[in-house]
Amino acid sequence: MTKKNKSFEVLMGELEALVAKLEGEDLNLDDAIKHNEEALNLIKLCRTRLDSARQKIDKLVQTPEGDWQQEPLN
Amino acid sequence: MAQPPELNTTLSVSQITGHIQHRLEQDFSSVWVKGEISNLTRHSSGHWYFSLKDSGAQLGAVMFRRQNQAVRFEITHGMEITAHGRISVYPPQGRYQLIVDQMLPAGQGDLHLAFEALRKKLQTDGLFDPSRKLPLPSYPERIGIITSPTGAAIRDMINILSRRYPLAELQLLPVRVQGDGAAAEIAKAIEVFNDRHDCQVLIVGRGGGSLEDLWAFNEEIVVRAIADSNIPVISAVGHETDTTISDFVADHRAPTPSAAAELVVPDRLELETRLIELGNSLRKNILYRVKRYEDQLKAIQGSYALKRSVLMVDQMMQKLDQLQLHSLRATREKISLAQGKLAGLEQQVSALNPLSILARGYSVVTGADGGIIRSVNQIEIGDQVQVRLNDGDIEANIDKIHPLKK
Repeated sequence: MTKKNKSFEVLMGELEALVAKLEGEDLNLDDAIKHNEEALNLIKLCRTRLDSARQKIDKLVQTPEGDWQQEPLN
Repeated sequence: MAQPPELNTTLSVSQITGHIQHRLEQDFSSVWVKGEISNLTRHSSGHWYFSLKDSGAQLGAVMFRRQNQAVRFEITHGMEITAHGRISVYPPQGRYQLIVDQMLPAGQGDLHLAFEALRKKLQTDGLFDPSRKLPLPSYPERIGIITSPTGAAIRDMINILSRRYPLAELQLLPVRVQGDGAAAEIAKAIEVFNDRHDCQVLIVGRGGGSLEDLWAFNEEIVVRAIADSNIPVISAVGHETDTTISDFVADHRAPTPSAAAELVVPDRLELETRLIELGNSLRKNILYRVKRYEDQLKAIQGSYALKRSVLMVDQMMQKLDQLQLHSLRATREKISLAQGKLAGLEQQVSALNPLSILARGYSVVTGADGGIIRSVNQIEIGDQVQVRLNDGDIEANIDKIHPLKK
């Protein structure tokens, strides 16, 4: 799963985990810098998601066959 | 015929009244009574005194000011009502009466009775157990909404959800929320969402209305559907003061549809603040780490071991310099020695050169044949000889010969 497909929840979870790891003691500097960079990227991605999100609103309607279908709510 | 009483088993009027009071007040501490209002007196104190009666009996009743202020309809003589309260005995007059704390018009009273009956039954079935409640997701990706497609509730929810958390997708399943068939539609909608299984949380509700308007959410079919849902359900029915059985059974109760929208998603602004905080703490953390490594590096630079090794290098250099100096000196000495020797040899060699002997005043005499005259016996008077001096030759004739006497 690429970063783009990950849900916001997963991204936030990864971010929190990275921060927790960074706040732990036993990390060498290279790893810390790597994690830090990764975390900053995640923050950027999360913020972009929040800023660019436009709510998708659908309604469910039943077809004559009895199935339920999504269509945009006007 | 009864036996004449023993003194100690005889009760006083107060004693038996006390017993009756105890019994009645204990057994009828919370009752619903249906009847017709008669003999209504609204006292200047604000209290209401009246009787409840039906074809066979009547019951004295009082509703004090504090309680009757909450009654939202006009009561009149002859009106059918349902009252809730407790039986109280008034010993000075040997009377009992109903102290009313809640009053509803008869039809609504029936609904209340039905409400209480279903609530008790489902509670006994364990449907309200806290252990049955599902937790709500923190960041729902898809939210199912079961409500009327028209009306303020859905508009309010969409507004709030769009403002707070536009990341979530909303799926509305429009249903009737009041009237015949509403309960069945709502229950069906909950099943549909469970079958589709793509929403992480459901909001079931409607805006405010009368008890009858909200009734669908007190029907067993809806309450059971909520209880059976594998997706967490938030009930959001009416206003803050309205309570439905759906509220008891839902995984989470929201006082209003707007409140449901508030609690179902995180707030975008709060998330952004959180992200900024995380960024700051990351920055602090990495700076702290770099600083710590810097300090370590400094400590190592100042350490004895490193100083010692630097010192050792210095010493080596010094030694090397010394060695170089020594070897230079030794070489020089050797050279000058060799030079001295060479000069000696040169001297020796030049001392052996016959020409240099001439320089010291000696001369060489050669005969007519060119041979060197080494003895007087080699020449005779009258011979011509050549004498080689340091700076030239002399031609000479031999006049006399004086051999050395040995």
